[in-house]
Amino acid sequence: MKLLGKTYSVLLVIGLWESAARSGFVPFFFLPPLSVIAMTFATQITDGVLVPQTLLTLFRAFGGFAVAVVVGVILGIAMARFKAVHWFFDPLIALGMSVPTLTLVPAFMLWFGIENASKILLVAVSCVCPMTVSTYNGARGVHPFLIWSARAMGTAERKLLWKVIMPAATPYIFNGMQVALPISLIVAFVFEMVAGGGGLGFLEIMAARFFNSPDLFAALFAILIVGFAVDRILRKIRAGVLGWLERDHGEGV
Amino acid sequence: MTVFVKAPGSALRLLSRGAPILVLLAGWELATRSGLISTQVLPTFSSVFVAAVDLIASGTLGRHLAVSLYRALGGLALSMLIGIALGLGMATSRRVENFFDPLVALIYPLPKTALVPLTMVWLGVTDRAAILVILLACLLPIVINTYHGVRAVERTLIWSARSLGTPTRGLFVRIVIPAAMPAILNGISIAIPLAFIVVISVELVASKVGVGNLINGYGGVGAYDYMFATIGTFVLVAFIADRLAVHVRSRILFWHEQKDAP
Amino acid sequence: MAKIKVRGLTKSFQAIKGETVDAISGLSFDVGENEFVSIVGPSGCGKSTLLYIVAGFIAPTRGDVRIGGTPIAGPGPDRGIVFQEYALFPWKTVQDNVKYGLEEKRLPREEQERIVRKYIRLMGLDGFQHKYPKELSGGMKQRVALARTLAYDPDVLLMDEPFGALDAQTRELQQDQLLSVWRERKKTVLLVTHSVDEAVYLSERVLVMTARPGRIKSVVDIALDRSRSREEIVTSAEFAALRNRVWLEVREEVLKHYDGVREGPR
Repeated sequence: MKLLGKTYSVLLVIGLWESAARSGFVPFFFLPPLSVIAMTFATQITDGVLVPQTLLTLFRAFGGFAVAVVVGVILGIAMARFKAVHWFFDPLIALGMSVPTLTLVPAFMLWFGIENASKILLVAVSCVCPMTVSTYNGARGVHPFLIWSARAMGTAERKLLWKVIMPAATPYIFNGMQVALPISLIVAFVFEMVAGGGGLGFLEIMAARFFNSPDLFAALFAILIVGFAVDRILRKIRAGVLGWLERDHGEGV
Repeated sequence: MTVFVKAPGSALRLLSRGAPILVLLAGWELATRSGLISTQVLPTFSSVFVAAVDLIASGTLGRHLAVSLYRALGGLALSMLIGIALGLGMATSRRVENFFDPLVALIYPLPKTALVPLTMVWLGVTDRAAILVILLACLLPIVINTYHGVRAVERTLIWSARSLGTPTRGLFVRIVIPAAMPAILNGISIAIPLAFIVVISVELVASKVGVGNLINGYGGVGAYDYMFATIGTFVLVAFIADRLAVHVRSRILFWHEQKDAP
Repeated sequence: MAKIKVRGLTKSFQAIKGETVDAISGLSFDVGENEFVSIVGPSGCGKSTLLYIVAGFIAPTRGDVRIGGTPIAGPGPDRGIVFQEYALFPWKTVQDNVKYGLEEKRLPREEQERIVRKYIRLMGLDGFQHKYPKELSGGMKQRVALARTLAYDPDVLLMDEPFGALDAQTRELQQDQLLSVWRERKKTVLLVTHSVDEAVYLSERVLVMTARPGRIKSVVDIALDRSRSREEIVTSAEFAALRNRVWLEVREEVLKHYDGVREGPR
């Protein structure tokens, strides 16, 4: 009963949707009944359409995301440790943060084509700035006392990185990931909508072009589910990793 | 990140900050002129600059930029109106909160650009469709920040006002809203660059006019110098808009004590 | 007749697991007209809760509070409050903060300005009228908070650890200033504090609260010759004796709390 009280607005919307769609008040292409959409969704899965396309989009988004994480973390730590690196990259990153990277979709189509590699690269470029910024903030926020005492205890420089800086920066890195992950999905979707080449974004825009509303909504819900699942999973991983770090390294995370 | 500081010698500092960018631009020009990078792939910076001047002078950029700005700012304004009202309502009324909370949670993980094909079907390739997407994209940050801003108003402030004679009705306008202003403006600050990003996305996919469409068009016919010129000037405009917003915000919030947060 | 009459005050809360917890229980005491009374007690004994109920921000579960014989119904112009965090309105200047209550009273403009000037001067805030809270030190903010409440001219002054956030020196200065204001303005003061020294130094009576659920454990009359200077009072034998007496009472309650933690389920 409590659950009902909490979600009744959603049920209301679902109810309104279904009845409005079935009543004939609303044209079919505008708002197909949810039941039809659900059927289409199921059919698309069993027909082997939806799942491969979803995986394709995820492959592009996560591929670019992974690259951005690696590059971003390395760059962020380098910027925190070496003044020269910071001096050189800081204005570039600041610039990069304010550029809507989606404006480069046509440019990327020109330079790298419309295949997966091109999409992965644009995702990487879009995600690298937030990753760098958050890593940098995490790495440079490490209290000097922590570093001095670690050095005093004889920790070698390289181990310093792993034992002190990384654990301190990790929460920030995860914050960056929570910002970058949605970006990776958005860039992948839009690139697919513009350039084609399969994927959920492509599915959706093609459905729209043919006024195939059930397919459109099916793709839209697939995107919604993906977005939701990805966010949840990241949170779980974050809780797990940060918990592990706390146990392994004691206080100071 | 480092912040622009207004101090003597700031000109020098600006130069120091701008240096890597100038290096990059110089490198660009050299690489493309020398043939290291083919101008088929990347036009020279100078040709892009010339194209930009032409775009502005001919009024082409002006026309399309006006469309994009109209959509972006229109969607932003509507999202502010609806978002702040909704955030205030959710923060002050349990019933309103219970009603909208699951809806907000449901829409939150959806990338709003995924709604572009839908609005295309609903409203065609029009300004209204674009504004709708932008409105929805900017709505959530504003609602969430407004909501949390109101909830976080310290009760000691409200209690002090009550002790000093403020009737319950007056509390909202006299105390809660000013106290929640920093958070509300924070939400708006997040929404502004979002509006610019989304309008481009919409115009790349579903528009006959506007900057995104222009970029797409030039790219399609191989006029890459014009394409980059358009991208460059749009980015500049977005950047200026963002800086302007930051400036306005610090003027409004001159009284606000910044508390350090990670 | 007592200015503040508290009878059988109880406040219960729902704990996380659903059981009811009494923050305060069956608490009763009086505060006379123009009396300066402090409440001390271990952490978590409910002293702030008590103050907030007297102020009218929270409703008690049982019991009643009367001010000048009339039962209270929410906050009122007869009771002013000063919080530990000052609770100044950050978007208003010092002057506008002090003026706030007067605006609510809808006094004529010149009257407002006159009163504001008076209290700015009284609290030593001259020259700072147009500053904003973020530009002030803790001590100054404290003074603005007090000026704001005094300008409103309530009969009763309720103070919740008002000097808790100040450094030791500023704290002492503020305490002396409060005393002189109290003597001059003739107000009934109920002050909640952690500091036994502060309670004994400032008040005519000190109420010691028990650990949770809080009730009044004992009342200590403070009879100190206050015509002397601060140093003389604080180093006198009477002060030490009174202070120790109150301190031991409080300590008993603090230890009770710890014993409970060691033995009982938590």
